[in-house]
Amino acid sequence: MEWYWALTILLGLATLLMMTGLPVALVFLSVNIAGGLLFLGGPAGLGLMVRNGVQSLQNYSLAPIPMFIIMGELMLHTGMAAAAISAVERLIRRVPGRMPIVSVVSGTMFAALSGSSMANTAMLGSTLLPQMLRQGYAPQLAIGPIVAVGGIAILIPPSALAVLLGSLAKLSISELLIAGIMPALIMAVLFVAYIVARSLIVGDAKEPDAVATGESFLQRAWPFLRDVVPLFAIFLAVVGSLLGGFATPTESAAVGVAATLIAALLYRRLSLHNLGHSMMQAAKISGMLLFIIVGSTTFSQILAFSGAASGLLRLLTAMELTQLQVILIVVAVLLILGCFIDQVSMMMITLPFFIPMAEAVGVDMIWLGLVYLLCLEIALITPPFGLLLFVMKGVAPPEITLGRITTAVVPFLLIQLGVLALIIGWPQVALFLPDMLFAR
Amino acid sequence: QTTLRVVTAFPQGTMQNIPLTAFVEHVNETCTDSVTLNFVGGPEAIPTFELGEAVRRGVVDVGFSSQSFYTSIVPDASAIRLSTNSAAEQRENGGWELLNRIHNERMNAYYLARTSDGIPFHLYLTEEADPLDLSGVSLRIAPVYRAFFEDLGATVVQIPPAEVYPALERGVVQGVGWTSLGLFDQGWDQHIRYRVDPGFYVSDSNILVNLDRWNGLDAAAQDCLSEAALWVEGQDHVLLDLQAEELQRQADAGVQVIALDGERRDEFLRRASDAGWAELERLQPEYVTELRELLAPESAE
Amino acid sequence: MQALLRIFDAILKCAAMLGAFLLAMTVAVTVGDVVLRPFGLRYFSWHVDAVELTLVIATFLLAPWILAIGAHVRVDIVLQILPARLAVWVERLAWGWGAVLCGWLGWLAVGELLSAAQRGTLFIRSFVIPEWWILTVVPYCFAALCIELVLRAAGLRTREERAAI
Ligand code: NA
Ligand code: NA
Repeated sequence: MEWYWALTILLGLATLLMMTGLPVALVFLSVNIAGGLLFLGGPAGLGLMVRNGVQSLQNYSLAPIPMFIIMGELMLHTGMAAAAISAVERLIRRVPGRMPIVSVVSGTMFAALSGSSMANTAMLGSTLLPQMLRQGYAPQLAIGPIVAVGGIAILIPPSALAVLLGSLAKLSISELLIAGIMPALIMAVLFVAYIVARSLIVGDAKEPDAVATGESFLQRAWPFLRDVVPLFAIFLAVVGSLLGGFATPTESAAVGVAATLIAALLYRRLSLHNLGHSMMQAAKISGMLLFIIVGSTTFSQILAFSGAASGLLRLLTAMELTQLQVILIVVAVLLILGCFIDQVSMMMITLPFFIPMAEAVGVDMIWLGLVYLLCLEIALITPPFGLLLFVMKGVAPPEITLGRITTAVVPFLLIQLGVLALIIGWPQVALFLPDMLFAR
Repeated sequence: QTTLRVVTAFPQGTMQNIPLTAFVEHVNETCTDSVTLNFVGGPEAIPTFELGEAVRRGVVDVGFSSQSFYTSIVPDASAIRLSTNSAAEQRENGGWELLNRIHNERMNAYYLARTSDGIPFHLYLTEEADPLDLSGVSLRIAPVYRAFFEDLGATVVQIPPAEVYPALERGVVQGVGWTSLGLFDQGWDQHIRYRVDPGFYVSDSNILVNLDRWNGLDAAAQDCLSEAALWVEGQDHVLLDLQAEELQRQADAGVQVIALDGERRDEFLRRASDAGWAELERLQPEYVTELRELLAPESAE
Repeated sequence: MQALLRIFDAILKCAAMLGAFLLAMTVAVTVGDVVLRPFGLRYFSWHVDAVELTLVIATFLLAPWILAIGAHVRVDIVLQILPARLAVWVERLAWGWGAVLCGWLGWLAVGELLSAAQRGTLFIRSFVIPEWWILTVVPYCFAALCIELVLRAAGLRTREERAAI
């Protein structure tokens, strides 16, 4: 079978089945059965597919997913997250779209506390969303920023995905992480600007700014010092154990969980009940994601085995290209793949083709790595397969549909694409930091 | 005219695949009227540790893998890395036949060829240390040399390949075991300062054919593939030349040699060998004695 | 029937609690190794292998419970657009197909389990165990998923139950 037929059949079947409302994990398993019969040579291949599914989870690099989610759930159910967010909320006032801005600021802050976009979205979604809906914000404006800002967690250290990308592509992980900081901040600023503009034009929440106005700045800042600043000890534990050589990147995630537990103990917020509850909630979200990974990893293997992936990439790499064209092709392929498969599989499939292709034309590898990270971030929120959309659906009230979440994210998606375009057109915006710090 | 699907267990673009690439090209040039090899891909298509299973059940016709990736199915194959004689000698003395029989039995696979012969493993360090007493030194291990490094007194840390670089960078481990090839592939050279000589054990990358598929081939195809197998086993000088280049490149990059001589050298090698055979004895004793006589005759006394 | 359903739900919940507990243990042994390693104490040197195994076991133990509480994500855009009566039928068909799929996968998984047990293949890492021990969770997962999906296709799971998380 020609590779383009294989590609059409597999992606087409996946899209069609998703539309029936079958859980995403089962959609992948269905397509895998079809792919197994078509390409892996019948029954023997199907058995192997089951084994590959089991094998796909025997991967230590996946361990940070449950760990960072446990961290987020602990912050959530012990009330540490709510206290931190309300402290931020007291500092931000008298702006149009106040609460959505609070979610962008808190989200960017939590990005430095956590290496997992999914944990961040789960945490902000379960604390801030009900509050915003209660205060009368349009679901459109309440949902969008929370989902979009979740992706910033992979640009700001600690970041499980940046570590994985750096390792797979043999890039300097420190340079890559430093390069991610500027785009992340630009993105956060643009999110805020959009929220303000939209609130001015379309109107804000019906319920006005509820915070008392008689307090002095110090009274308003005190909760921030008490409930937010100490949390950065968690950041220091994660990043410090990594930089200090005590732990590998994956192990540092576990250190983060331990630090969160200690913080909850010191705040006297930890109980057996909320510990158990946090664990069950974390197990629910991580189990959901890991079960999707079983299906999607095997799916990407079948894409590779059928020759569909390499056929497409070989077609592209055969052309004589300039640096910019190479980057644009990387972006196009990643954005399209990102609609269907997960971040880890995207890297596994494409890096063996794109790294040599980029090296051949002398592309700055940190630039390429950063473009990769931005594309991976965008893929988190592009339908039909967008992990952050799913996480949001998992924590939002039942009447919020996946369709509504998806449309709410669109303006923020456009902003992210804008930042991506900026970095492609003007790499120095991001690269001056690593250039300066590492004298590259 | 049959077409066979070929998959490698090593990531594409790494040096380990050089023998396979040569083999596929050679077969496709010389066996034009009996058999064609179609290279499908690497771990992105079949996970490294499942390639053995894929060959066993015929999802893949030809697999290119190291025994360390399929130990769970064929524990005895780990004896290959303990060989002290060459693949050519094993063809002569019956070692190849025994290994083939074991692969037939346990993996439903034909042990067509054994490449990367003569490429040893080395202990690489970021700090100077006494190789015969590594207490206090943390090393990243893989199953291949776990028993040996533990015997040397090292603190062993298990780290997935992707995280070895940051672990070296940050000093979580002060050393790794690896072959003489491919240190630069991984970027590890930026942190490695010392290499311990001599190397120990030998690499193996084996070309394995699903047994049913092999038996179903006509005599012409079998003969042509077997000839190609002998040819590719004779191509190991390509890797040995590369190895010489790599060692020079390591020296240029400032990697210093910690050389063991005389008795200390013998002790280092003996402990490597003993640790490996003892481990195999524990896991799968069935063929140990025969294997040791045929693959490592001088250690068998 | 109701009693049977309650027993089924209890089994799913127990498996899930075991899964959650195992995930908590991954944190404990990892931190244990990080903290003790500098002192040369290697009680948890096996933690990487244990964590990898736990990811497998926990995921397959959790999946059926997650479906039962309605927390497996699905794309509901089309169901929202379709007329309600049609949407119900599309959904039931999807559950039905899911049941067939999981039954099929469960049957394949039993085959793999038996084959591994019969050939005596080993999981060889810092500890050595028979491979089939690990594979036992897979048939459980798909069998339980299959039953749950049959219940849904038959309309025995109400919306309230599904939304309760
Ligand atoms: Na982060
Ligand atoms: Na996506």
